[in-house]
Amino acid sequence: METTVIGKGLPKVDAWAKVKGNIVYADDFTLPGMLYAKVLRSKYPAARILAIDTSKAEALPGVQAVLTAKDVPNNNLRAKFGQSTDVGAQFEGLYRVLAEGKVRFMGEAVALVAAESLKVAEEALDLIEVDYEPLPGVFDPEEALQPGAYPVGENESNVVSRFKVRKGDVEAGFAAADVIIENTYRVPFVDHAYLEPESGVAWLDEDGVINIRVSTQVIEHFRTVAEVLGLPQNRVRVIGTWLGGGFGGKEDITVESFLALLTWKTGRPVKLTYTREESILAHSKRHAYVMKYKTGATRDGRLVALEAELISDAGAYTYLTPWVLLYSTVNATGPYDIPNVKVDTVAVLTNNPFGSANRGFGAIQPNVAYESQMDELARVLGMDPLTIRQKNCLRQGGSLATGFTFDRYVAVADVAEKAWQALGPVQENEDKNIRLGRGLAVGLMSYGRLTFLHDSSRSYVKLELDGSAVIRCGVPDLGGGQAQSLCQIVAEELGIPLEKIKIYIADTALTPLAGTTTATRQLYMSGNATLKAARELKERLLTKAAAMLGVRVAYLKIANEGIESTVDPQQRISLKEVINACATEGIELFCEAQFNAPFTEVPASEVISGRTFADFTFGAHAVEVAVDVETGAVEVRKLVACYDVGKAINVLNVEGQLEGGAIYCLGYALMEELAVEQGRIKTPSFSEYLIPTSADVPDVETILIESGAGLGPYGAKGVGEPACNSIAPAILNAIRDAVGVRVTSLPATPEKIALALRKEQ
Amino acid sequence: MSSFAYAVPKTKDEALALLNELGPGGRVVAGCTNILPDIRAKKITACTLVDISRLAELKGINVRGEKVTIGSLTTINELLHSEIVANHGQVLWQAGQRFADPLVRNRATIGGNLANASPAADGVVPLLALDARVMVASLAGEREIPVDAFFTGPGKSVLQPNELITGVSFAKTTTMKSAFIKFGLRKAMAISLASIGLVVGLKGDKVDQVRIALGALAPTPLRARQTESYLAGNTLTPAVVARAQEIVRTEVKPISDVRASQEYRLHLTGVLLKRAFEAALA
Repeated sequence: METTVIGKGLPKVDAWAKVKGNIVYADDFTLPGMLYAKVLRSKYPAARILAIDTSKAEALPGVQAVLTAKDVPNNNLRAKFGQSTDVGAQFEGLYRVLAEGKVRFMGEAVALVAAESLKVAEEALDLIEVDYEPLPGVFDPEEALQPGAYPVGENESNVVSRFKVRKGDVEAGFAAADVIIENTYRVPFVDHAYLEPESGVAWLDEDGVINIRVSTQVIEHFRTVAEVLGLPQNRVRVIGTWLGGGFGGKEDITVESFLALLTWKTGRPVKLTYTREESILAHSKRHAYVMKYKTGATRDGRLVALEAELISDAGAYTYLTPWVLLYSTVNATGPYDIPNVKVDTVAVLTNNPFGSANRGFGAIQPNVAYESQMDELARVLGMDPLTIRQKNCLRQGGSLATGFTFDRYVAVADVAEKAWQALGPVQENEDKNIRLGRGLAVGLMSYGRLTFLHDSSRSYVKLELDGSAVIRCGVPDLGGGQAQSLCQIVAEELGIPLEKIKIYIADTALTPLAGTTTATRQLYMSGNATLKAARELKERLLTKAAAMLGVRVAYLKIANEGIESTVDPQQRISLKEVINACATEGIELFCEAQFNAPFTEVPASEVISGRTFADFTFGAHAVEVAVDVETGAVEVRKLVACYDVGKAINVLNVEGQLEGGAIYCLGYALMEELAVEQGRIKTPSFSEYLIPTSADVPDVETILIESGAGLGPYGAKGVGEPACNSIAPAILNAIRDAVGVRVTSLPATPEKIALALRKEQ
Repeated sequence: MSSFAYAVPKTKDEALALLNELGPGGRVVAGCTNILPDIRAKKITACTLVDISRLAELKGINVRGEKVTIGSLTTINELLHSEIVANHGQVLWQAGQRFADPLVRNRATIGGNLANASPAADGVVPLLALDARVMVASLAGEREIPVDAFFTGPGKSVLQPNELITGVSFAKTTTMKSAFIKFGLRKAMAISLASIGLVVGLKGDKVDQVRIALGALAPTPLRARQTESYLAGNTLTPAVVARAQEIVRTEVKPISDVRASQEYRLHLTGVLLKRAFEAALA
């Protein structure tokens, strides 16, 4: 297909404003008469609240409201996480606004204060007296599974969910295997570490509507906020800001309910912005997992059986744990065709920080395990890392162990080969303390939500009389180019230059709801909705132009703000003229379209089978590392990311996602760990919780394959989350290659490597 | 609840009078790279911040004869751009390159790095290796304290509330070899897990003078005196270096914390000692 805008590396619509500092982020916004809010947080990971005395805080001059659980109209909800359809109790969890009865984790919100200044609000927190009875708590997920374990909730079981995958006969499979590799892998909690902490401002407007201007990935939380307050859903409006990063950490409600409660109580505008330390303490984490893997292969390198047991530490509340666990379950085998599979997964509550969405959403953890296993198998069998993967990977027509069959192009073999070859010839190592090593890993990850969630998105496109266009779409833009791609689609379809397109995003009152910016779904879902709307308008314009030019629609094309004959370009009419003709005749110059993903039923049992996702993205990472044999320090020298992106709508953006994704989980591999001891965070700030700096990362070489096999516009696939898959095991495999140490627990710190090397001596 | 007063003295004498008056209620600030995070974390509350950043008397790098003097307000970035430091106090110049990141180096001062008294201070370890003296003033007069005697524990020093660090001085190390190695968990903005500053002079193939300073391996930055005296007069053969590694490990008292275990820090101590000699003599 010949394109003029799609596939080009064009600057984003928001780029200049961001570079110049002109974007009004959530915390940049203020209103006259605004109050400042602070949150009192639990000092214990497990305790019973015996009493709360707020009288001294209330008496402090300047304090306008102090709220505890008893002041919240509906403090305990079955959370639906922005979801509009019912999916049953097994996929929902308790959403508790403020702690009541038992405190479940350290940092849990206990009380809210709104005051005339931040200083007074902070002072008021110190005056709230909470009488706690500390409880023992449980901090190890395997312990929390035992009968008689400390109950994190009141009395209910600590088990959040269990899933299984069954294919063939693993006993028979292992009996037929020549080689069996068994390992236990551990991955820690990690933080999203976005630039912008949680923040928002709420106000009550003249119609009694609560407006919340907030940094969020999910404006649909307006429904939950309405339920918390006992208000009709149309009395709460959420306006999403441009985000300073989300990565899944702003998928759950953060400050919205707190702001709404305080504004409702005081009638005044209220701002709440978390400090960095509060952000680390209060928001969700990537789940920590323990993963026991057993993989069997024949002598010629063919996989015959895989058995995996995954234990997910859900932390103190359910949030998106069941969905994350389901992703892990489906992804547990990796993109491999294995005849005999047994996967058992379980997620369990503890008194640790709560786990929920984090870029990669449950696909990342098992990827660390299965790609480490593949590497070990290759070593035992004397095969190279590329060959063993090519021998076993899924191809078009192949099926996951759940039975889902790929009827479109599956790029695993291709991405693996291109990434591996791009490392180039091995260079000589001149430092006596350094050993070089190379590693490869592949991965798959879905884009689009779980199909039983019955996902849809809507978008509105309108032509103005001067030939410009407006898009209204409720998509939150995380910085990933979500808005830009919609503009490019409209520009391409309607022949309008990008600068003449204005997009309005993320406002529940004014933009059609487009669903969450999560699950790598916006290009796929809102891109398709926008494409549908633009094509509907295009059809009307072409029909009108055909009448005006006397040329059949089939021989017309739309380009450069005009419609012309494909046979005789002299027969041309400007878009503006066609638009004005339509306006005169009352032909609608707007279109709101809805796109629905494929729908399936909610899984009826723990055994997961058939279709759970619309489609998958396949990618590979190849790295070269330099390991210091004395200090154990690892430097990633070369990093190649190769992905089948289907079609790159904006090449710069796609490359940016692949680079950012690789670096995001380079940190996961080498330095990031939210260390938790007895429910207390030992890395409470960026002084202890380290993420890579620009000095720690190499240039990322990106290779795009454009198969056109995606379900998104023009055959595009989603890449936002898949981009951070497979980098961590590629690094672990390279370390193994360099110094012979198999690191089975993340992060691969210098200490782990150096002490392992010393043990070997 | 935090509540601060702020004063900006225009002269050193004015600053000293102010500090004398305020006593423990006064806190000297300059680059603010430590004090602002401490204020935010409420580690410091309710005091008068005495901002000395405009005292020209405390700036500048000078050589007189064999002695180099550096004003306490000199920033790490200024050290890095000083030929005097690069030629006559090489270990300090080397350490400056590994100090925090370029933004912090623009603000952080050498005096502030001393006053903060962190056991991991990357500006202090090289001063220790230079056998520097800290120049301190108060209304009562001036005194000099060897860096080695300046620190008493993590965050603690002999500096009195009424005293101001005015500078540091050390003898030129022009003809000696130097090395500074920092090991942190990333390449910039990392607190040292272990660091070493080394100044060594050879006579023929024998060690003539040697000063070894270690950071983050004890409650204060420390000199490895026993290792130094073992090495003095010795030739740096592999066996001698190996023995020195054993000795140095007995001189340090590292802790276990969330960043690393004591075992690993001990391991690093030996590695850094060997590498410091390799780097200095390369």
